[in-house]
Amino acid sequence: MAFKISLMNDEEILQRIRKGDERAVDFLYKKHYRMMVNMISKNSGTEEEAKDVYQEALIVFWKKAVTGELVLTSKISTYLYSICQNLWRKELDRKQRLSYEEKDAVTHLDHDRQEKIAIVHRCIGELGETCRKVLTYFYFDEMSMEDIATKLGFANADTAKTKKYKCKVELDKKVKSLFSSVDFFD
Amino acid sequence: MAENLNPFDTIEAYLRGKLDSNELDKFEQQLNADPNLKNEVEFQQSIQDGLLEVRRLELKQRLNSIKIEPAFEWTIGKIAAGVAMVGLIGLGASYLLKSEDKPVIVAVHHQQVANPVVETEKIKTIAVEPILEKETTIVKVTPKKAKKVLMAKSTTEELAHSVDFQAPVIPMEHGFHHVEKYDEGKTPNGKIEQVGAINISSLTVDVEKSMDKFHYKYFSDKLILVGDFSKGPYELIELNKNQEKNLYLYYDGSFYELHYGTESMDHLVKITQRKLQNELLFKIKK
Repeated sequence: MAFKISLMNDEEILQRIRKGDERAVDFLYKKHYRMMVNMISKNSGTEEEAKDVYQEALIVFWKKAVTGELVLTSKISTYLYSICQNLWRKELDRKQRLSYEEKDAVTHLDHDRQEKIAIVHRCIGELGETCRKVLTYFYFDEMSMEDIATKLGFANADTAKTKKYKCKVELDKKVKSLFSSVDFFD
Repeated sequence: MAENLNPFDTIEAYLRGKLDSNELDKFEQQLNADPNLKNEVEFQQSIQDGLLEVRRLELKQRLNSIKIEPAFEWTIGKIAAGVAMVGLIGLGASYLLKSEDKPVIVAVHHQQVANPVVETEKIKTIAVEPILEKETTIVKVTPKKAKKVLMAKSTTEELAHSVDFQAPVIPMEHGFHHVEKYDEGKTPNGKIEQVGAINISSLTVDVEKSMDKFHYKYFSDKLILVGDFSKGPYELIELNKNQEKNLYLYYDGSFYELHYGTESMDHLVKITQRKLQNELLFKIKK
């Protein structure tokens, strides 16, 4: 069963996001899906591309809001709309460039970076859910130790801090051993 | 800030852009002079990039899993003293609502409660049929049908009389009324953008039949219950206290706490706190 009750104003949404409540983003996603996707579809995007861009836009929005970087001077919908427009313009530019250049002209630098990210990704996966959450909430969402403790049900901020420290040491160790087995500079 | 930091913390603060301009200058000088430090910073940069990417993908996956249903939205306004009831469903149900300061129960019906009669106007009930299916289907229950379901479950006549049924359309009308009243602006495509101070919840409940012990997942707008819920209807109770909403499950004489954010299967743990039990029991009896 699925009932959706769609009444939450911008201020409430922002408050929830600042507390790290992802449901607020789900809500926004559904609420403005049609508008954003239509905009991109009308500008020569497929539905898949439109969806992808809209999701990226929401992640940008989430990150800005959750880290407290966002000062909202317009409605959320207007703001999201402009992020979508910018992202879509960039994507169109990129596609145009690609059509003139070699498609496989990816630099070694990019390649190295991607490979490193993939290794880190794998190591994070091995750490388990709690570590992944603690670390991503800290680095991506920039949540305070208090908020992380609340969200993950730890006793207090100190517990979260200790956990974060241990997880990070463990991750560094794992990544270091894998990095050393891959030569990134040939 | 950097004065008190160990190198580990300083590198971290540097990469997260948390150093002030003095600290930054100082750190960059060290960085240029010390190749080991530079290597370590590059290493840490990779790790942070990886962490950012992992979280980005996680959020993306989350959004990707949201189904966009064409124009099926229930809009519920702040309904006077409290709660609305919402329709009912093949699978078990739930529901939510908001009242400004009082604890609120939603979706209450249980034949095993000593006096399961809903007496106040604040609480309306839904019959919850414990049909156990994996598929999520949406079934609109007409008042007539709902009554039938409940009567079948009830052992007393009073129960049937006292229960107040509403078709799903009723809350929706409230919603529209409310929206008109509080609308403060329109989105670019003319949809309703802002409404008064109304809290929302939306929850999808799936029940997976299993003879295992009770388990659950509760995240996003989804609650998944696993176990044998065939002994009778279960109930979801939302307590709205101190600006916090907590969700509880009542089944077969026991209450269980449902922690939001439980993304992997977790055991349903019985509530043993006497005070909370009483509070929940009180809500149910009400």
